[in-house]
Amino acid sequence: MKIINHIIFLILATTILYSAEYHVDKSNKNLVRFISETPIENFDGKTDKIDGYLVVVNQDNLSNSELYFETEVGTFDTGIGLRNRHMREDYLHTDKYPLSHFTGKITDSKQLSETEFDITAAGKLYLHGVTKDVKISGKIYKLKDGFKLKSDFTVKLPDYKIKVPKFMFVRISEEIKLQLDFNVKLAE
Amino acid sequence: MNKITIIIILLLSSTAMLSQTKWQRSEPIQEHVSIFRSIEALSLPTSETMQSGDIYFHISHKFLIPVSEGAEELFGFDGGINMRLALGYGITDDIFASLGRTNLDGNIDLQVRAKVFEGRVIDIPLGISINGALAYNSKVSIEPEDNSRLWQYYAQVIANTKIGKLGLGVVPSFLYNSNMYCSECQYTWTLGLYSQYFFNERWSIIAEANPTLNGWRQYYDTYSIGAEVETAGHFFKVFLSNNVYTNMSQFLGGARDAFDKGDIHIGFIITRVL
Repeated sequence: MKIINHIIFLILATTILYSAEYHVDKSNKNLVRFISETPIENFDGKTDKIDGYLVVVNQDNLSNSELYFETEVGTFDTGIGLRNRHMREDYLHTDKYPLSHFTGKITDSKQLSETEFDITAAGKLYLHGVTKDVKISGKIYKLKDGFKLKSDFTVKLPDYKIKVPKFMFVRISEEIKLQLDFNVKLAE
Repeated sequence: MNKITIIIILLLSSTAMLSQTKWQRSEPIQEHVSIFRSIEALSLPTSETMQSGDIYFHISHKFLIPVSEGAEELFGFDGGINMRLALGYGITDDIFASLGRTNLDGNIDLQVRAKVFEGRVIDIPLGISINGALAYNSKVSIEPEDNSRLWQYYAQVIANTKIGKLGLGVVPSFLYNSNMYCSECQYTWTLGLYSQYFFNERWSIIAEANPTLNGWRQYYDTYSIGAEVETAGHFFKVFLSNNVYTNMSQFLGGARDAFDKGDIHIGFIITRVL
């Protein structure tokens, strides 16, 4: 019986001690950027409307950490108002699907230095009403009171039932590069 | 149930509780109200403005020979035109300014449009803007006695809404110095009305009327019907109208031809947003 008590104590203590919740730090500079590259025209869209959390269960190497982040896709600014409007109304249908989000876990983590980790996260990406299993890789940097997360990955628009215009000149790439760069801080 | 089972259940539930996040979305999701897509219906303005920093280019033609002249005049294309060129700029997301010039009387117009409301009222989308402008007739064939009469001024309140695929607009307008050659300075009140039916994101049809409520008017009220196609940053509009004026200070004064008698003219507008 004593051994069981010890095990329970250790598990609980480990969970409590090592599980820490971090939320997206809105006071910091956060960025979600998409890039469309075609032979005719390259353009990008940017937003700082990212929110979500990181639950770290192992502070040493971040593996098994839970990750959730969401972006308001209607807030992407491509630099031209009419193009933003086309993106919202004709392609992303943001009135129906205002958010895109990723839910997953860090499945692989490699510590490169005291503050830098290479990570891979596996989970589900929701966009335009469609959910797909994805694996994304990126870097996590330890900060004084949280972490900085950076990731580059690609999404294929047809996978998410987003039509690519086929009239006149095709100006939007089927494959969109996504860049994330945001900060999380310890939840209060 | 023995003690160990209870402890395991407690342990699992406490671990599950620990994995419940405290996170909650900190800001409400931003709503985008969408009514009209172009900043003008045919000749009348919509409540839309440009985004800050956007550049807008406009070219419009109205053919002077009526369609009724037939194939011999290529339905008006063989004749003269009234033409307006304009450049606009989004000063802020809600304030838009444009400078235009029309070949008729060398009419130069400077317009400023400000969006004062965009949102939903009882779940109905509503956009309201005000448009103020001055126009100077720089190249008249006969000078008016008083040179100050070369200046015209107008103001418009633009209210837009959308029901399903049908956009609706009301534009009460006031024009000061409607006819620079009248001995007494004239004014004109009109009530612009338009509707635009959007078949899809590309194609739509538009009907527009601008009856005069009070003050000076040429012979007839203005009526126009047309179609719009939107491709990337361009709007192409082709229409038939009994009003051949391309500048607002000339357009608001009414038409010389009667729409219901078939004295209608072809016109087109091309705009580009950069």
